[in-house]
Amino acid sequence: MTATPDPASRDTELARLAAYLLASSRSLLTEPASYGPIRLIDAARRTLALLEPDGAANPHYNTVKTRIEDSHRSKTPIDLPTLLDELCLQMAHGLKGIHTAQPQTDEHSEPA
Amino acid sequence: MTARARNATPPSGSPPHAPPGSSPDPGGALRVLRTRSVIREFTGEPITDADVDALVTAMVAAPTGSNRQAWAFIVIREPQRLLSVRAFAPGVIGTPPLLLVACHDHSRYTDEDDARVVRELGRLCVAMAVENFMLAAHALGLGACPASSFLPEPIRLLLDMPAHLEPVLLVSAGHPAHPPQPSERRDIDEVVRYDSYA
Repeated sequence: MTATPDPASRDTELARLAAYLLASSRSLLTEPASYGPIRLIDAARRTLALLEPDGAANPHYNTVKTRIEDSHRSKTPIDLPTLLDELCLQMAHGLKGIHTAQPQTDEHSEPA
Repeated sequence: MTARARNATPPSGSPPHAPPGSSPDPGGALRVLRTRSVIREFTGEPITDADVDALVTAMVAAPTGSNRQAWAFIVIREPQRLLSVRAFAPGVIGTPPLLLVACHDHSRYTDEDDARVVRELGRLCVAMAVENFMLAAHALGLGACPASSFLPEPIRLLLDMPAHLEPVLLVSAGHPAHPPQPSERRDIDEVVRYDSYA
């Protein structure tokens, strides 16, 4: 059974994520350019971690998060282009699953 | 003398005038020094009060120029506060149960001090204290990771820090989520020379 997340707690977590993005952006002005992709990858990991408490995680998202965590532990240089290509494809699989699970909507029923 | 030649001399044990508190187990102490490596991910288990006491006691035993002790440290364990500070520290990757904010205390200087020399020395002393903290963590079976990527002003605000404290390093610490994986180091003969660089 998954506990329902406290909305106030969720708001705080999202605010901290926004703070992380801003702090990363500010830090990157004076840090090596190569840190940029790493900060963005970690932002993706933090975002995916927020999905777990309300049961929204799906296997593809979990794979992405786990692979990012594995990359943090790696003692050998990471092939970032390959890693990112694979992570993006994994995210696309996850998102495609959501689309196919939802009932098709009639575009003509949208308000004008 | 090469490292290999130096190592050919067997250890002679403790010197006759070993300082009080010298390790009765130099092999164990040296093993701690050699095997420490960065730990960025932690279990959710908190660090006990006794271990925190051991960590900070080891930390402030570090060398300090002129015994100035121009340092201050904030140990954050309250989870919500820790998470907010972490949000402004991109270099802190995991979610540790403890975050140390290691600061240079500029109030420990006088107008007579040579500011440039003494204050640069002060930052080095903070770094040596942080190294003591991390080695003590490793000796206790904990893990730690220093980070210099953070925004000092938001952290200063979150922690009610006075202006004379300058955060220098943040250190995350906790129980390792994975076994330490020491990183490859350059060969010792490549980086250490004896008696001259030639």
